[in-house]
Amino acid sequence: MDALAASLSGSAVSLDLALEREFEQRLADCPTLAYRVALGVLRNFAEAEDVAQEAMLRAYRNFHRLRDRERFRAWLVRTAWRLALDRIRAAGRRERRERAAIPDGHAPPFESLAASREFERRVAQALEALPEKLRIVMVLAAIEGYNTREVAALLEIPEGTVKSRLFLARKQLAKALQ
Amino acid sequence: MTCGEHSGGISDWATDAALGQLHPAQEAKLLAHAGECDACREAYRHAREVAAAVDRGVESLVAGEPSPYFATRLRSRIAAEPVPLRNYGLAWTPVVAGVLALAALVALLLRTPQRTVPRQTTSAGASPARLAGATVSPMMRHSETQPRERHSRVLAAAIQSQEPEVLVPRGQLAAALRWHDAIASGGIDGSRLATSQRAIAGLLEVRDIDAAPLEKPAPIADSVDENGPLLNPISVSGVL
Repeated sequence: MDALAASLSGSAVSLDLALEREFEQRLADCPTLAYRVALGVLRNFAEAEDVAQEAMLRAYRNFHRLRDRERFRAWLVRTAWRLALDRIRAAGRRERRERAAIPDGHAPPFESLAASREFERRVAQALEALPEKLRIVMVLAAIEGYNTREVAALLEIPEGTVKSRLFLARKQLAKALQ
Repeated sequence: MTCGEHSGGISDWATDAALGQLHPAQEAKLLAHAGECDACREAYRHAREVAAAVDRGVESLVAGEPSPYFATRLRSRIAAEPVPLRNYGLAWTPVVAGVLALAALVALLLRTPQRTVPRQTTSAGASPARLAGATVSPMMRHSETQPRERHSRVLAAAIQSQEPEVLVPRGQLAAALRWHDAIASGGIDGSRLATSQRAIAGLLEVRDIDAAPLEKPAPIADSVDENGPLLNPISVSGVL
Protein backbone atom coordinates (compact mmCIF):
# COMPACT_ATOMS: atom_id res chain seq x y z
CA MET A 1 0.00 0.00 0.00
CA ASP A 2 2.79 2.33 0.94
CA ALA A 3 4.60 1.36 -2.23
CA LEU A 4 1.52 2.14 -4.29
CA ALA A 5 1.06 5.48 -2.59
CA ALA A 6 4.71 6.28 -3.10
CA SER A 7 4.46 5.31 -6.76
CA LEU A 8 1.36 7.46 -7.30
CA SER A 9 2.92 10.30 -5.41
CA GLY A 10 6.07 9.96 -7.50
CA SER A 11 4.17 10.07 -10.78
CA ALA A 12 2.20 13.09 -9.59
CA VAL A 13 5.44 14.79 -8.66
CA SER A 14 6.98 14.01 -12.03
CA LEU A 15 3.84 15.30 -13.79
CA ASP A 16 4.00 18.44 -11.71
CA LEU A 17 7.65 18.87 -12.49
CA ALA A 18 7.03 18.50 -16.22
CA LEU A 19 4.24 21.08 -16.08
CA GLU A 20 6.39 23.37 -13.99
CA ARG A 21 9.19 23.17 -16.52
CA GLU A 22 6.84 23.97 -19.39
CA PHE A 23 5.32 26.85 -17.49
CA GLU A 24 8.79 28.21 -16.74
CA GLN A 25 9.41 28.30 -20.49
CA ARG A 26 6.22 30.31 -21.01
CA LEU A 27 7.22 32.56 -18.15
CA ALA A 28 10.43 33.33 -20.00
CA ASP A 29 8.87 34.49 -23.26
CA CYS A 30 5.20 35.38 -22.73
CA PRO A 31 4.90 38.07 -20.04
CA THR A 32 6.12 40.75 -22.44
CA LEU A 33 3.33 39.89 -24.84
CA ALA A 34 0.68 40.13 -22.12
CA TYR A 35 2.27 43.31 -20.79
CA ARG A 36 2.27 45.07 -24.17
CA VAL A 37 -1.27 44.06 -24.96
CA ALA A 38 -2.37 45.51 -21.63
CA LEU A 39 -0.26 48.59 -22.18
CA GLY A 40 -1.96 49.20 -25.52
CA VAL A 41 -5.24 49.51 -23.65
CA LEU A 42 -4.23 51.04 -20.34
CA ARG A 43 -1.23 53.24 -21.27
CA ASN A 44 -0.02 52.89 -17.72
CA PHE A 45 3.05 50.81 -16.93
CA ALA A 46 2.10 49.78 -13.42
CA GLU A 47 -1.44 48.84 -14.34
CA ALA A 48 -0.26 46.98 -17.43
CA GLU A 49 2.08 44.97 -15.25
CA ASP A 50 -0.73 44.16 -12.82
CA VAL A 51 -2.88 42.94 -15.69
CA ALA A 52 -0.01 40.88 -17.13
CA GLN A 53 0.52 39.33 -13.69
CA GLU A 54 -3.13 38.43 -13.38
CA ALA A 55 -3.23 37.00 -16.90
CA MET A 56 -0.16 34.85 -16.25
CA LEU A 57 -1.58 33.67 -12.94
CA ARG A 58 -4.80 32.61 -14.65
CA ALA A 59 -2.72 30.91 -17.32
CA TYR A 60 -0.94 28.99 -14.60
CA ARG A 61 -4.24 27.84 -13.11
CA ASN A 62 -5.41 26.61 -16.51
CA PHE A 63 -2.07 25.41 -17.74
CA HIS A 64 -3.15 21.76 -17.99
CA ARG A 65 -5.41 22.91 -20.86
CA LEU A 66 -2.91 25.31 -22.41
CA ARG A 67 0.23 23.30 -22.87
CA ASP A 68 0.34 23.91 -26.60
CA ARG A 69 2.51 26.99 -27.14
CA GLU A 70 0.38 28.70 -29.79
CA ARG A 71 -2.81 28.04 -27.91
CA PHE A 72 -1.24 29.40 -24.77
CA ARG A 73 -0.21 32.65 -26.46
CA ALA A 74 -3.61 33.14 -28.08
CA TRP A 75 -5.34 32.52 -24.77
CA LEU A 76 -2.96 34.89 -22.99
CA VAL A 77 -3.56 37.71 -25.50
CA ARG A 78 -7.33 37.44 -25.16
CA THR A 79 -7.16 37.23 -21.38
CA ALA A 80 -4.83 40.20 -21.03
CA TRP A 81 -6.98 42.21 -23.42
CA ARG A 82 -10.19 41.49 -21.52
CA LEU A 83 -8.61 42.10 -18.15
CA ALA A 84 -7.26 45.44 -19.33
CA LEU A 85 -10.65 46.45 -20.72
CA ASP A 86 -12.37 45.39 -17.50
CA ARG A 87 -9.94 47.43 -15.49
CA ILE A 88 -10.34 50.53 -17.58
CA ARG A 89 -14.11 50.24 -17.53
CA ALA A 90 -14.24 49.69 -13.81
CA ALA A 91 -12.12 52.72 -13.10
CA GLY A 92 -14.08 54.93 -15.45
CA ARG A 93 -10.86 56.20 -16.92
CA ARG A 94 -12.36 56.37 -20.37
CA GLU A 95 -14.70 59.16 -19.37
CA ARG A 96 -11.97 61.03 -17.56
CA ARG A 97 -9.69 60.81 -20.57
CA GLU A 98 -12.41 61.97 -22.90
CA ARG A 99 -13.10 64.95 -20.69
CA ALA A 100 -9.39 65.74 -20.57
CA ALA A 101 -9.11 65.47 -24.33
CA ILE A 102 -11.33 68.40 -25.19
CA PRO A 103 -9.63 70.27 -28.07
CA ASP A 104 -8.23 73.63 -27.14
CA GLY A 105 -9.28 75.47 -30.27
CA HIS A 106 -6.20 75.42 -32.42
CA ALA A 107 -4.32 72.52 -33.97
CA PRO A 108 -0.54 72.73 -34.19
CA PRO A 109 1.21 71.85 -37.46
CA PHE A 110 1.41 68.09 -38.03
CA GLU A 111 5.22 67.97 -38.22
CA SER A 112 5.67 69.51 -34.80
CA LEU A 113 2.74 67.56 -33.44
CA ALA A 114 4.18 64.19 -34.51
CA ALA A 115 7.28 64.70 -32.42
CA SER A 116 5.45 65.66 -29.26
CA ARG A 117 3.79 63.94 -26.33
CA GLU A 118 0.62 65.54 -27.47
CA PHE A 119 0.74 63.46 -30.62
CA GLU A 120 1.09 60.30 -28.57
CA ARG A 121 -1.92 61.31 -26.54
CA ARG A 122 -3.93 61.90 -29.70
CA VAL A 123 -2.90 58.55 -31.14
CA ALA A 124 -3.99 56.85 -27.94
CA GLN A 125 -7.27 58.70 -28.00
CA ALA A 126 -7.90 57.77 -31.63
CA LEU A 127 -6.94 54.19 -30.92
CA GLU A 128 -9.37 54.06 -28.05
CA ALA A 129 -12.15 55.31 -30.29
CA LEU A 130 -11.68 52.36 -32.67
CA PRO A 131 -14.06 49.42 -32.53
CA GLU A 132 -12.62 46.67 -30.37
CA LYS A 133 -12.05 44.25 -33.25
CA LEU A 134 -9.98 46.81 -35.12
CA ARG A 135 -8.17 48.00 -32.05
CA ILE A 136 -6.82 44.64 -30.94
CA VAL A 137 -5.55 43.92 -34.45
CA MET A 138 -3.82 47.30 -34.53
CA VAL A 139 -2.22 46.81 -31.12
CA LEU A 140 -0.99 43.30 -31.91
CA ALA A 141 0.39 44.41 -35.27
CA ALA A 142 2.24 47.22 -33.56
CA ILE A 143 3.91 44.84 -31.13
CA GLU A 144 7.35 44.21 -32.49
CA GLY A 145 7.77 41.11 -34.56
CA TYR A 146 4.14 40.26 -35.27
CA ASN A 147 3.07 40.10 -38.88
CA THR A 148 -0.47 39.54 -40.11
CA ARG A 149 -0.07 35.75 -40.09
CA GLU A 150 1.03 35.77 -36.46
CA VAL A 151 -1.72 38.16 -35.48
CA ALA A 152 -4.20 35.84 -37.17
CA ALA A 153 -2.79 32.91 -35.18
CA LEU A 154 -2.99 34.87 -31.93
CA LEU A 155 -6.61 35.87 -32.53
CA GLU A 156 -7.54 32.57 -34.19
CA ILE A 157 -9.11 34.33 -37.16
CA PRO A 158 -8.25 34.18 -40.91
CA GLU A 159 -5.28 36.18 -42.09
CA GLY A 160 -7.44 37.96 -44.68
CA THR A 161 -9.67 39.22 -41.89
CA VAL A 162 -6.63 40.54 -40.07
CA LYS A 163 -5.44 42.38 -43.19
CA SER A 164 -8.79 44.04 -43.83
CA ARG A 165 -9.21 45.02 -40.18
CA LEU A 166 -5.70 46.36 -40.06
CA PHE A 167 -6.32 48.50 -43.12
CA LEU A 168 -9.57 49.86 -41.70
CA ALA A 169 -7.92 50.60 -38.37
CA ARG A 170 -5.01 52.45 -39.95
CA LYS A 171 -7.31 54.40 -42.20
CA GLN A 172 -9.51 55.50 -39.32
CA LEU A 173 -6.50 56.44 -37.24
CA ALA A 174 -4.98 58.40 -40.12
CA LYS A 175 -8.21 60.30 -40.65
CA ALA A 176 -8.50 61.06 -36.96
CA LEU A 177 -4.94 62.38 -36.84
CA GLN A 178 -4.94 64.44 -40.05
CA MET B 1 -6.97 62.14 -63.95
CA THR B 2 -8.14 65.35 -62.30
CA CYS B 3 -8.29 66.37 -58.63
CA GLY B 4 -12.07 65.85 -58.44
CA GLU B 5 -12.26 62.58 -60.36
CA HIS B 6 -12.50 60.38 -57.27
CA SER B 7 -15.81 60.73 -55.47
CA GLY B 8 -14.16 60.85 -52.05
CA GLY B 9 -11.56 63.35 -53.10
CA ILE B 10 -7.87 62.88 -53.73
CA SER B 11 -7.14 62.49 -50.02
CA ASP B 12 -8.97 59.14 -49.90
CA TRP B 13 -6.85 57.83 -52.74
CA ALA B 14 -3.76 59.26 -51.12
CA THR B 15 -4.56 57.64 -47.77
CA ASP B 16 -5.28 54.27 -49.36
CA ALA B 17 -2.07 54.53 -51.37
CA ALA B 18 -0.09 55.47 -48.28
CA LEU B 19 -1.49 52.42 -46.48
CA GLY B 20 -0.62 50.21 -49.44
CA GLN B 21 -4.22 49.33 -50.19
CA LEU B 22 -4.91 51.24 -53.38
CA HIS B 23 -5.37 49.20 -56.53
CA PRO B 24 -2.15 49.28 -58.63
CA ALA B 25 -3.93 50.82 -61.62
CA GLN B 26 -5.42 53.56 -59.45
CA GLU B 27 -2.10 54.12 -57.71
CA ALA B 28 -0.41 54.61 -61.06
CA LYS B 29 -3.04 57.21 -61.98
CA LEU B 30 -2.59 58.98 -58.64
CA LEU B 31 1.18 59.11 -58.97
CA ALA B 32 0.96 60.37 -62.51
CA HIS B 33 -1.42 63.11 -61.43
CA ALA B 34 0.66 63.98 -58.34
CA GLY B 35 3.62 64.53 -60.64
CA GLU B 36 1.71 67.33 -62.34
CA CYS B 37 -0.41 68.74 -59.46
CA ASP B 38 1.35 70.36 -56.50
CA ALA B 39 -1.70 70.15 -54.20
CA CYS B 40 -2.22 66.44 -54.81
CA ARG B 41 1.51 65.75 -54.48
CA GLU B 42 1.41 67.52 -51.12
CA ALA B 43 -1.70 65.56 -50.08
CA TYR B 44 -0.03 62.27 -50.96
CA ARG B 45 3.14 63.21 -49.06
CA HIS B 46 1.09 64.22 -46.04
CA ALA B 47 -0.90 60.95 -46.15
CA ARG B 48 2.30 58.93 -46.17
CA GLU B 49 3.64 60.91 -43.21
CA VAL B 50 0.46 60.38 -41.28
CA ALA B 51 0.38 56.64 -42.03
CA ALA B 52 3.94 56.24 -40.85
CA ALA B 53 3.24 58.35 -37.79
CA VAL B 54 0.20 56.24 -36.96
CA ASP B 55 2.27 53.08 -36.96
CA ARG B 56 5.03 54.73 -34.94
CA GLY B 57 2.51 56.19 -32.51
CA VAL B 58 0.79 52.87 -31.84
CA GLU B 59 4.14 51.11 -31.58
CA SER B 60 5.25 53.66 -29.02
CA LEU B 61 2.08 53.03 -27.05
CA VAL B 62 2.83 49.35 -26.69
CA ALA B 63 6.60 49.65 -26.35
CA GLY B 64 7.85 48.57 -22.99
CA GLU B 65 8.99 45.67 -20.92
CA PRO B 66 7.69 44.32 -17.65
CA SER B 67 9.75 45.14 -14.62
CA PRO B 68 12.69 42.89 -13.68
CA TYR B 69 10.68 41.71 -10.68
CA PHE B 70 7.82 40.44 -12.79
CA ALA B 71 8.79 36.76 -12.68
CA THR B 72 9.69 36.86 -8.98
CA ARG B 73 6.41 38.48 -8.09
CA LEU B 74 4.48 35.99 -10.20
CA ARG B 75 6.23 33.02 -8.61
CA SER B 76 5.42 34.29 -5.14
CA ARG B 77 1.77 34.67 -6.14
CA ILE B 78 1.77 31.14 -7.56
CA ALA B 79 3.28 29.83 -4.33
CA ALA B 80 0.45 31.50 -2.40
CA GLU B 81 -2.18 29.75 -4.52
CA PRO B 82 -4.39 27.63 -2.21
CA VAL B 83 -4.75 24.65 -4.53
CA PRO B 84 -2.48 24.65 -7.56
CA LEU B 85 -4.36 22.92 -10.35
CA ARG B 86 -1.45 21.09 -11.76
CA ASN B 87 -2.81 17.58 -11.64
CA TYR B 88 -5.11 16.50 -14.45
CA GLY B 89 -7.13 14.36 -12.02
CA LEU B 90 -8.19 17.32 -9.93
CA ALA B 91 -10.08 18.81 -12.82
CA TRP B 92 -12.30 15.72 -12.93
CA THR B 93 -13.05 15.65 -9.21
CA PRO B 94 -16.41 17.49 -9.42
CA VAL B 95 -17.50 15.27 -12.32
CA VAL B 96 -16.63 12.06 -10.46
CA ALA B 97 -18.42 13.30 -7.35
CA GLY B 98 -21.52 14.13 -9.40
CA VAL B 99 -21.58 10.70 -11.05
CA LEU B 100 -21.22 8.94 -7.70
CA ALA B 101 -24.04 10.99 -6.20
CA LEU B 102 -26.28 10.20 -9.17
CA ALA B 103 -25.52 6.49 -8.93
CA ALA B 104 -26.36 6.51 -5.23
CA LEU B 105 -29.65 8.27 -5.91
CA VAL B 106 -30.62 5.77 -8.61
CA ALA B 107 -29.74 2.85 -6.36
CA LEU B 108 -31.86 4.33 -3.56
CA LEU B 109 -34.85 4.82 -5.87
CA LEU B 110 -34.63 1.25 -7.14
CA ARG B 111 -34.28 -0.18 -3.67
CA THR B 112 -37.03 1.72 -1.87
CA PRO B 113 -40.13 0.01 -3.43
CA GLN B 114 -38.75 -3.44 -2.68
CA ARG B 115 -38.55 -2.59 1.00
CA THR B 116 -41.83 -0.78 1.65
CA VAL B 117 -44.33 -1.59 -1.05
CA PRO B 118 -46.16 -4.92 -1.16
CA ARG B 119 -46.21 -6.61 -4.50
CA GLN B 120 -49.49 -6.05 -6.21
CA THR B 121 -50.73 -6.14 -9.75
CA THR B 122 -53.95 -4.27 -9.42
CA SER B 123 -54.55 -1.88 -12.25
CA ALA B 124 -56.19 0.67 -10.06
CA GLY B 125 -57.87 3.27 -12.20
CA ALA B 126 -58.92 5.17 -9.13
CA SER B 127 -56.60 5.38 -6.21
CA PRO B 128 -57.48 2.72 -3.63
CA ALA B 129 -55.93 4.75 -0.88
CA ARG B 130 -58.15 7.68 -1.70
CA LEU B 131 -61.19 5.42 -1.84
CA ALA B 132 -60.38 4.00 1.56
CA GLY B 133 -59.76 7.44 3.01
CA ALA B 134 -56.63 6.13 4.63
CA THR B 135 -53.60 8.11 5.55
CA VAL B 136 -51.11 7.42 2.81
CA SER B 137 -47.35 7.46 2.97
CA PRO B 138 -45.27 9.58 0.56
CA MET B 139 -44.44 6.43 -1.33
CA MET B 140 -48.16 5.72 -1.78
CA ARG B 141 -48.73 9.24 -3.03
CA HIS B 142 -45.87 8.73 -5.44
CA SER B 143 -47.48 5.52 -6.61
CA GLU B 144 -50.72 7.37 -7.27
CA THR B 145 -49.06 9.86 -9.54
CA GLN B 146 -46.97 7.33 -11.42
CA PRO B 147 -48.71 3.93 -11.25
CA ARG B 148 -47.00 2.48 -14.29
CA GLU B 149 -43.58 3.40 -13.09
CA ARG B 150 -44.30 1.97 -9.70
CA HIS B 151 -45.74 -1.18 -11.21
CA SER B 152 -42.61 -1.76 -13.23
CA ARG B 153 -40.47 -1.14 -10.18
CA VAL B 154 -42.50 -3.65 -8.16
CA LEU B 155 -42.19 -6.22 -10.90
CA ALA B 156 -38.46 -5.65 -11.11
CA ALA B 157 -38.16 -5.98 -7.36
CA ALA B 158 -40.18 -9.20 -7.37
CA ILE B 159 -38.05 -10.67 -10.11
CA GLN B 160 -34.91 -9.71 -8.25
CA SER B 161 -36.05 -11.17 -4.96
CA GLN B 162 -37.61 -14.27 -6.57
CA GLU B 163 -40.69 -13.83 -4.36
CA PRO B 164 -44.22 -14.47 -5.59
CA GLU B 165 -46.39 -11.48 -6.33
CA VAL B 166 -49.40 -10.81 -4.14
CA LEU B 167 -52.60 -10.16 -6.00
CA VAL B 168 -54.68 -7.46 -4.34
CA PRO B 169 -58.32 -7.18 -5.31
CA ARG B 170 -59.36 -3.91 -6.80
CA GLY B 171 -60.19 -1.31 -4.18
CA GLN B 172 -58.32 -3.05 -1.37
CA LEU B 173 -54.82 -1.74 -2.03
CA ALA B 174 -54.90 0.77 0.82
CA ALA B 175 -55.99 -1.88 3.31
CA ALA B 176 -53.36 -4.29 2.05
CA LEU B 177 -50.69 -1.63 2.36
CA ARG B 178 -51.72 -0.88 5.92
CA TRP B 179 -51.65 -4.56 6.78
CA HIS B 180 -48.24 -4.91 5.20
CA ASP B 181 -46.87 -1.92 7.07
CA ALA B 182 -48.30 -3.19 10.34
CA ILE B 183 -46.76 -6.62 9.86
CA ALA B 184 -43.47 -5.25 8.60
CA SER B 185 -43.19 -2.88 11.55
CA GLY B 186 -43.90 -5.67 14.05
CA GLY B 187 -47.19 -4.20 15.23
CA ILE B 188 -48.96 -7.40 14.23
CA ASP B 189 -47.59 -10.90 14.52
CA GLY B 190 -47.90 -12.28 11.02
CA SER B 191 -47.69 -15.95 12.04
CA ARG B 192 -50.42 -15.58 14.69
CA LEU B 193 -52.56 -13.76 12.20
CA ALA B 194 -52.16 -16.57 9.70
CA THR B 195 -52.99 -19.20 12.37
CA SER B 196 -56.12 -17.40 13.48
CA GLN B 197 -57.19 -16.96 9.87
CA ARG B 198 -56.88 -20.73 9.31
CA ALA B 199 -58.90 -21.38 12.50
CA ILE B 200 -61.67 -19.08 11.35
CA ALA B 201 -61.66 -20.69 7.93
CA GLY B 202 -62.07 -24.08 9.62
CA LEU B 203 -65.16 -22.92 11.49
CA LEU B 204 -66.84 -21.70 8.39
CA GLU B 205 -68.83 -24.50 6.81
CA VAL B 206 -71.31 -24.34 4.02
CA ARG B 207 -74.47 -26.39 4.57
CA ASP B 208 -77.56 -26.96 2.49
CA ILE B 209 -80.57 -24.98 3.44
CA ASP B 210 -83.46 -27.05 4.74
CA ALA B 211 -86.64 -25.63 3.41
CA ALA B 212 -90.12 -27.09 3.99
CA PRO B 213 -92.14 -27.83 0.84
CA LEU B 214 -94.70 -25.29 -0.05
CA GLU B 215 -98.23 -26.16 0.97
CA LYS B 216 -101.12 -25.69 -1.30
CA PRO B 217 -102.71 -22.40 -0.38
CA ALA B 218 -106.23 -22.39 0.90
CA PRO B 219 -108.83 -20.74 -1.21
CA ILE B 220 -109.14 -17.06 -0.48
CA ALA B 221 -112.18 -16.24 1.53
CA ASP B 222 -114.38 -13.33 0.68
CA SER B 223 -113.78 -11.86 4.10
CA VAL B 224 -110.36 -12.06 5.72
CA ASP B 225 -110.12 -13.28 9.24
CA GLU B 226 -108.83 -10.43 11.28
CA ASN B 227 -106.53 -12.71 13.35
CA GLY B 228 -105.44 -15.12 10.68
CA PRO B 229 -102.37 -14.78 8.41
CA LEU B 230 -102.73 -13.89 4.83
CA LEU B 231 -100.13 -16.46 3.70
CA ASN B 232 -98.87 -19.67 5.19
CA PRO B 233 -95.51 -19.32 6.94
CA ILE B 234 -92.43 -20.85 5.32
CA SER B 235 -89.89 -22.39 7.66
CA VAL B 236 -86.31 -21.65 6.72
CA SER B 237 -83.41 -22.84 8.70
CA GLY B 238 -79.76 -23.03 8.14
CA VAL B 239 -76.50 -22.35 9.77
CA LEU B 240 -73.67 -20.66 8.11
